[in-house]
Amino acid sequence: MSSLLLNTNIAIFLLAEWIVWFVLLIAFGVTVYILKKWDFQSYTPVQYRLEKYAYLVMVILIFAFSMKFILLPYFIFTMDKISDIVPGAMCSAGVISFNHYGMKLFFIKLLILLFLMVWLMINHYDLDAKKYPWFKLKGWLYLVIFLLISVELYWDYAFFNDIDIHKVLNCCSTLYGLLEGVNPLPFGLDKTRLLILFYLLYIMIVLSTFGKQYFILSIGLILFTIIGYYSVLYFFGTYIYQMPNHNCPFCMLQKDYYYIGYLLWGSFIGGLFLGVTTIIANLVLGIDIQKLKILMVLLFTQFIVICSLYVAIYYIQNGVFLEPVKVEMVM
Amino acid sequence: MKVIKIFSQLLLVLILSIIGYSIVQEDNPIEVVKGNLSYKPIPFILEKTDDTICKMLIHSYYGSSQAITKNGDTYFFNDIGCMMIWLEEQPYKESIRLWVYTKDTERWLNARLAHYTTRDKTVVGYGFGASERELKDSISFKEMRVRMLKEEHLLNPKVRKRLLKNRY
Amino acid sequence: MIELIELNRYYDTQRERFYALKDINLTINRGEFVLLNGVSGSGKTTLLTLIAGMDKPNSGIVIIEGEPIIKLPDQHLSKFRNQHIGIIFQHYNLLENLSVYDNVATPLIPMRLSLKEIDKRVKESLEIANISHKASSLASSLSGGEKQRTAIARALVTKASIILCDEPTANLDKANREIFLKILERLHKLNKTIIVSTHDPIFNDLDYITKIVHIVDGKIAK
Repeated sequence: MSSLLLNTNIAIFLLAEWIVWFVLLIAFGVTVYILKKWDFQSYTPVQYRLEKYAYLVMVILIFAFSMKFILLPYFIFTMDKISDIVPGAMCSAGVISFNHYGMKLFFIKLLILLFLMVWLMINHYDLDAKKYPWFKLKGWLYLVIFLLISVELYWDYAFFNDIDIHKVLNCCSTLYGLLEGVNPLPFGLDKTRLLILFYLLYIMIVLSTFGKQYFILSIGLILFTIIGYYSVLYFFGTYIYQMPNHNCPFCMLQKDYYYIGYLLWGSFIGGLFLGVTTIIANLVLGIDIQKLKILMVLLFTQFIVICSLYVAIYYIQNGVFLEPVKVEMVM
Repeated sequence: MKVIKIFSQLLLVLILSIIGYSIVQEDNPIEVVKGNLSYKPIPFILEKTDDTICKMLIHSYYGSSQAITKNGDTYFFNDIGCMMIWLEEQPYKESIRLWVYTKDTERWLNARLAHYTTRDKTVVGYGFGASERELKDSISFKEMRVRMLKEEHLLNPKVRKRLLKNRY
Repeated sequence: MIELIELNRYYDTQRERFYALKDINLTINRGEFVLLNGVSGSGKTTLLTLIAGMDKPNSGIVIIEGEPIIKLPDQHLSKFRNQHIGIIFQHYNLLENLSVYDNVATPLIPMRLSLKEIDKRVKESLEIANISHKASSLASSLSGGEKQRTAIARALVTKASIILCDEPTANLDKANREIFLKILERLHKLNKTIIVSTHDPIFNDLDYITKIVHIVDGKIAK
């Protein structure tokens, strides 16, 4: 067992994860029982009991979502704290890529949060419809969520247990830095095209949302996930750090940069999640949720504004843009 | 509303065009990456990176290898056999960091510490498959290198016959 | 219309299963005045609670105006009760620190009406219940009869079509009982469906009662 598990932040984090998992285990058992016996048309004692249990599951999941919502930034914060005590890592980037659990763990946490959000949305409209038309759908979705959370719990432990504080970790410049001969941008894009796509995709997402064109919105969200990420990593991030070669998605979460990363990535991921939820609501439930759409657009707008402001402020202060990084291809 | 719909469709076409154009215009495959002074293996992009010796695109990490010279130049190989051929032509061989992707633990390992089986189906066909754990009939890096130089590999028909008849 | 079909409510103790209500089948049409008669502990209050949706049966259905209310999710049930059912409790259940006006206005909060509409409805209800003169008085300063009339006004303010009364005259003197009966008659003429749970003999002589249901040991006696 790694001594790192005794670190206060990690201990708190793992304990919280265990507690959440445990209550979700109860909900899992109840959900399996409910799914086996549920018959809404029935008026028997069993069915009435199941309807009461359904409320228990609902309360547990609301609790779990709230906890996961808090635990994700706390996870990043914890890794940031660990980067202070392990050699080589300057931020969470080095810690998260120490072993093969790191990035997988991070993505599964995002996936769980997304699924929980979708579950809460389906639950809201299921109750609203009076006759629980999507009861079984949300039941099965919950079983998937529980499976993911169980895997996540194991990876939480394995990830922290596998970190050896005596080994030198990579820092973000090694992981994300540009090497000559490598174009890290997707689709063979250069910086100019990347930025054009960044803004065009935002406009397309806004228009397709209010135009109720969910197919276009889906494509927009998928592309914006990729383009948005790379834009922050290889362009906007450099203006946050005011260093043309500093490409790191995690350093901006630190105090040195006023924790702007939480707001920036929070807006980005929040917008994406709400977008996916909106699409599922429309395609699966046939419901158009205006509030979700407006919130999604607001979050994306906030994201765009934060990114653009850093560039604008730098330009206003210095009169020039940051020197673009040379990327040399060797053929 | 109609205007919004038309505009968003036009934007979609424009965006996909830009992406399509960039993909088509994309640069030639990478042969070498400079400046890798961490001397760690690079997660190079499959289908876009060439083997330095045979100039074939590398399609999978399995069986592939990397060599990093003292000044950080990183070369890529489809097959450890290719790397041995390349290494032979280099000065200051001992200063070159060699990495190989293992078939059992599926990770990059110092090639000099790996174990090699001799009858594997490798990309180019030399037959040396790298693993982290020592297996029955596996040989050391040193011996593998010697066999490559002596052409005692599966591409040699006589050796192939002997190896596959399990007489070695 | 109110329909109760095969309704059962029981409590499991360590030794046995106690039935508060057993195999209740009852239909009450709109505008009826129904008396639930029975001794203390016979199940009258339990029946009223189930009709109000404030408790759930162990089996069976309660259907009100075509809606199986027991099956409704909580938010819908609360909304349904707020809009369709007015309840007059035995001990009034007023908010002692609020005025009569505010007590009566409270059920209108979830309905999100304008202040003008709220004021109009409250004044109408106070008028019917004959308690307008006490609108600004605190509930804690009222007499038993005045509290009862405030409770009546509160039950009427949402324009509920069903009024449930649980032992409404238990804490009233003779004079206030008479006043209460007059108000009930007025409500009956307004075509409200009224269900009164009581063992007060004063109700036995009323000529506008359309149905008397005798409950004995949780069952409807024939």
